[in-house]
Amino acid sequence: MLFNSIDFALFLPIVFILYWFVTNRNLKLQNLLIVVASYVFYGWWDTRFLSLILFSTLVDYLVGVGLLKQENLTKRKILLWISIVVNLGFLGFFKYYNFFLDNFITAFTFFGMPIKAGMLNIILPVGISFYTFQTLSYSIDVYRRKLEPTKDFVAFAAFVSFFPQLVAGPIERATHLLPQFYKKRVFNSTLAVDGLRQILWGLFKKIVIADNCAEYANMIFNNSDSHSGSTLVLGALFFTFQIYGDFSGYSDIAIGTSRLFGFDLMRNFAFPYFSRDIAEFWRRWHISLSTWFRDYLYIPLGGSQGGMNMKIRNTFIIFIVSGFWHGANWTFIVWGFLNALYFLPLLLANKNRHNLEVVAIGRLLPSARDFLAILTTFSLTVFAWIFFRADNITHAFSYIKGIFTSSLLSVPTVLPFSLFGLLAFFMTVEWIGRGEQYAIEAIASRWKRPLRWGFYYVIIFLIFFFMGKEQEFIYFQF
Amino acid sequence: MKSFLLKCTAFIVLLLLVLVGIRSFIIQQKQNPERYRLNTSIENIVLGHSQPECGLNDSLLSHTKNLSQGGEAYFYTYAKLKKLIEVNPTIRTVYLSFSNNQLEKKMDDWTFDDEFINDKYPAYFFAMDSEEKKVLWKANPKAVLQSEQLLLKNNMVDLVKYRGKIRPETYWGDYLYLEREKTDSLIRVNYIETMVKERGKGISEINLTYLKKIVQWCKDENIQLIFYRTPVHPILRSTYDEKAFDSIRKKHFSTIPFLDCIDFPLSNQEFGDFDHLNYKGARKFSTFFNHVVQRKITSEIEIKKIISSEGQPEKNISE
Repeated sequence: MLFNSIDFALFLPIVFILYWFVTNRNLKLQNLLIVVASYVFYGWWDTRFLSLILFSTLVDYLVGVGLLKQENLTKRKILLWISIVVNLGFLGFFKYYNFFLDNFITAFTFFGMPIKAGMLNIILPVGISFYTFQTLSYSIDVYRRKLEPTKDFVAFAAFVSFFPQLVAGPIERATHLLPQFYKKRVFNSTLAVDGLRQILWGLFKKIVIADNCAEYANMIFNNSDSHSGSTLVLGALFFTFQIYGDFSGYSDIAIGTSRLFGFDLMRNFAFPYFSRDIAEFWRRWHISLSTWFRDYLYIPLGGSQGGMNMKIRNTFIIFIVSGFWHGANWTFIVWGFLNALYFLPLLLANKNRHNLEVVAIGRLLPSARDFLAILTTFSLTVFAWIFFRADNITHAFSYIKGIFTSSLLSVPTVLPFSLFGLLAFFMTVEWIGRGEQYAIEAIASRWKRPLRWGFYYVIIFLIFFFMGKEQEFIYFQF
Repeated sequence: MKSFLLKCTAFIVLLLLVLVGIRSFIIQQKQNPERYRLNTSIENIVLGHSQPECGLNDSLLSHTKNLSQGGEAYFYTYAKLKKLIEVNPTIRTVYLSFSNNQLEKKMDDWTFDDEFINDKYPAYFFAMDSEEKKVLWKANPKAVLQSEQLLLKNNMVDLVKYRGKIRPETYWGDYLYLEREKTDSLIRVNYIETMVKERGKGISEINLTYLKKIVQWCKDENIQLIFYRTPVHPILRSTYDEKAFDSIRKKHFSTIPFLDCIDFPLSNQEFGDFDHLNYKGARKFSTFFNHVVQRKITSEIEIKKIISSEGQPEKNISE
């Protein structure tokens, strides 16, 4: 089920009413409702893969129970590896099987030993990369004794399948989300209103910004050979805003929806396009994934404890794995590698922990230095997105080659002025709200009700009148 | 919780009131009969889907207006026809496309699929009666709900863009100047196989039902209804089940005159693709069709004779 669909507009109030008015007196029943609602939400797309979620839930639950009873370190390790192998096994099969096979065939053929192997027609289950990482975090944390394993299967199933963040995150840690299923939720009107506000902003980002940018980005990327350099730059810019609107919009809707049910999800985006260096960008972009890799990959690899060589090695590993997590295509790996290269000078100069605070805090405009830093980081990011969006490496390079031609200085052939206006409005609101959790959060405390409602109506009418063609969220494919 | 629900209700009610207000304004504006008024010299209208939309250039047809629209099923044509005749009493004859693909099973999708409802509902809402709206609602409520948003959006944009001077052809169809000349390349890639595969088995009952309704309505209103079939490429023609087509026509519509121009001679360069004429083909065919309209020809035999006398198709049609 898509957040930006009529189905969800009907589904959400029904679940809300059942949750707060029918099952509210019994915690177990309330958790069970979440499980049922989540399975309906997921099954709306394809019922076949529900069994996969259920199996993954069962395995990790049983691993948890096993770890609770087991004190022997070797046996505990075996239990952890069962969880890792099952979860990554599913992920590897559904997401990477054809990729590896294809590359093996190419490699063997290159060395004069052609092999024959049949590709499988595999459908990638929506959200598999997200819930796999979430359940893995449970097993690892229980193994590390950071978390008490649960005996409550319903609560655990609700944690794994929690519908607001099931298919595209934020990737929650068991230590943060699971305990929330043990406690009775009390309805909080302020939080619920805040949740609705965040949903509204998320819908605006997705429907108005992302879907409209998608139309032009697709048009330009799909026929990149026939566009001028300046138009190709515009295409990359449209994709830059598309992916941000799409993914951070999804996260806003997920976090807002969770608040309606009394849950607190972690923040996933913190205005990344206002970052002053690439390290800051990665602290603000897809936070739940970056911190997952930090905690479960970077630190176990030694993190920044060793010498400079180890730091560099670990940085490249984490960025390349992060790229590969996005999809079985060399474009994502190059995208990850490129980001590691961007990161390297900061690491070498020991400046990767600069710019921790919000840019130009307490000021209307950034300083000239901050502005230049933002512009540079943004340009580097736009350039990297070309690899992320391109169909393959050849396409990415031909796209970049197409940019750096004499036509770069010509007037772009695609000039959607209404979209430029929307983007200017969007970025202005984001800039003003950059100190908050999401751009329009402060409206509640600073604006009087008539003005506040007026603003909400403006957003609703913008959604209504600039609604692009209903498109799936980009991150569903990951 | 109570205060939250009250606030939400107040917010939604206010929003709905504004939306209902906008909707009422649009309906009031769009139901103005003047918006559907054609030039008083128009005596004939041409209706149908994309084939006549591309094939009949009405600037070459005297006293005739082409209001065909791509992807239009008879369900929507029926609504449009009623409104046009109601507002334009000068119209005496309706030329309605009756072709093989309009009986294909896929026409069910062209009537009720999301994509088609989203396209047609906002345009024909003002011509549909409650019965027709019910049919759509029953068949695909989700698409109708989506289309309500498009109804407001598209019509608001139209009213602002055209400043109230909207002509029927703005949203109900017009001659489409087609430049493309893809027939040779389609032959090379054997595209005909794809076309045949996409047809689906059986006939579209819903399209047949509404065609019968059109026939009955014209009869009741004393409007002369004439079926016609625009030219298609011989390669496509050879895949048609002419027996089945004839049997349906004879069984249900034997009293309706049929101007069958399917084999009107044209070269590959005059087709945009297998079943659409480009502007060159449209120019040639419209000149011919104008003679037919002006001479009020309704006889099948006569039309066949004229087409035969037009000469054989040019040599470069390769099969």
